[in-house]
Amino acid sequence: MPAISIDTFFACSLLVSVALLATASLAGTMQTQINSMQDLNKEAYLRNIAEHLVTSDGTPANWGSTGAVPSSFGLSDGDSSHLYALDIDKISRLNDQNAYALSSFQVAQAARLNNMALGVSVSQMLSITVTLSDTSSIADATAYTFRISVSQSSGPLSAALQCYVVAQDFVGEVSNTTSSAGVGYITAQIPNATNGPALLIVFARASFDDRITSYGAYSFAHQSQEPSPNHTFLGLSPLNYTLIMDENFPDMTIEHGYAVSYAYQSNLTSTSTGTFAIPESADKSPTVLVISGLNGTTSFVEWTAYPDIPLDFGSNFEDSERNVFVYTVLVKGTLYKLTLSFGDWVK
Amino acid sequence: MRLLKDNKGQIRTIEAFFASILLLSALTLIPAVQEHSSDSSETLSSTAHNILLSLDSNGHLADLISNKSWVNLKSCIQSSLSPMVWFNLTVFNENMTPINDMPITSGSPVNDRIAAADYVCASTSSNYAVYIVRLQLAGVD
Repeated sequence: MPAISIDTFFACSLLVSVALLATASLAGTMQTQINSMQDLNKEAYLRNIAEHLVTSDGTPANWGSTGAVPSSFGLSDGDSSHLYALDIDKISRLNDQNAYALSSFQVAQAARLNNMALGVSVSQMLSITVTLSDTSSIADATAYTFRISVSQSSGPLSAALQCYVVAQDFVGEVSNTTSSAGVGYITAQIPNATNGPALLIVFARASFDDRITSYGAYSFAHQSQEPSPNHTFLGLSPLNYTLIMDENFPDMTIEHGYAVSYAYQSNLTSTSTGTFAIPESADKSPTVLVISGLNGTTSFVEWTAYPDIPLDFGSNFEDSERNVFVYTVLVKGTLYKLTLSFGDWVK
Repeated sequence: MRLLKDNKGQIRTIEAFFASILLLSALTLIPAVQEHSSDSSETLSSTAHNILLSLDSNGHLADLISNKSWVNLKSCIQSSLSPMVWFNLTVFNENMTPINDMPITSGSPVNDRIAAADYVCASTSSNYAVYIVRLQLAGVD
């Protein structure tokens, strides 16, 4: 074979190899570019959907308070002066404890998101942790000391505490503040004449903004056995400033109903069998609704919040891609965090 | 010996070598893929707008500025943001002169992709002062 043929063959092989390598490299780079562009487009598309869900009223505009299933989904309260103000009932109907809660399917239909997973999560701005640190007897009462820690996303917070203790027909009030380390102690006395499960409701308000007010609840035993989990005896569904009660057992007696918020406390008034009117207050605080009663001879104290927050609605996105958009929103003058999550759309 | 002496085809190999270098160097001209973090600048800008709008309900933001409550203003912004997001807030008067005499920031920027949103608010007091609030955000990669 002549040497020129070997050289030509070698030169051609080199050129073809390099051309193949370059083509493969270019294809890889271009694919990454295209994927990156698709991600940016997807993010903008999903952000616009999220914005629409937060700022639109849906159809009908009052679907939250009427208990109707919306034909289009939107969470806004329709107040044009606040773009990110959400309706108290629309939010509450995303909580699966509520008898009027929408299903994931209904929301997906109304939001026209049939080919995409949707998750809605609403949380309070402050996190409150309550632990019972001490119990002592004082004459004809028992004193309970609680350690309360308050934090926000960036760490511990100095906050004002307003606490209510509810046991059967007894309601007590205590207030204090947390230190800069976010820890405070309160002591509440409950008369020994009252027995059964008791409930401590803690409201914490940030010192720098009264719209940052959150609540926490802690059930404990007062001269009785440990209380049953919440919603064992009653289904409590607040809607349109009415508390609708579903009894889980046939032989039940409702004794008292209370509505408490940071600066306000009142008795609930029954409007008909199984319903109570929820008082409207100007207090920038969630309202906690407490019902005490008897199931045969067993006392119970159960509660719900209005708005029914915190809540997690829709898909849990386990082992799947999740596109998250976080909003700071107002519900009845109080600030909350709303997280909208979208999965990837199914082609 | 005949093969070693016959060097007529060597120029083809040299040409192919140069052609390969030319081809490979052309690849370097392709722009590098732009990384984009989970917090794109549009999302951060949208978040900044959302925070300023929500915090200014009932003129709260303007009231804090009028009272020069910079520490409270910082706390408000901080409570609305994840600790993974850096922020810097500057308040200007109507002449675009910064009026906050202390930095309202969470520290040094964590990366150079900073998104900003400007928001105009007016004091609810009798002087009706107008403020321009600029909130800059950056996410952690």
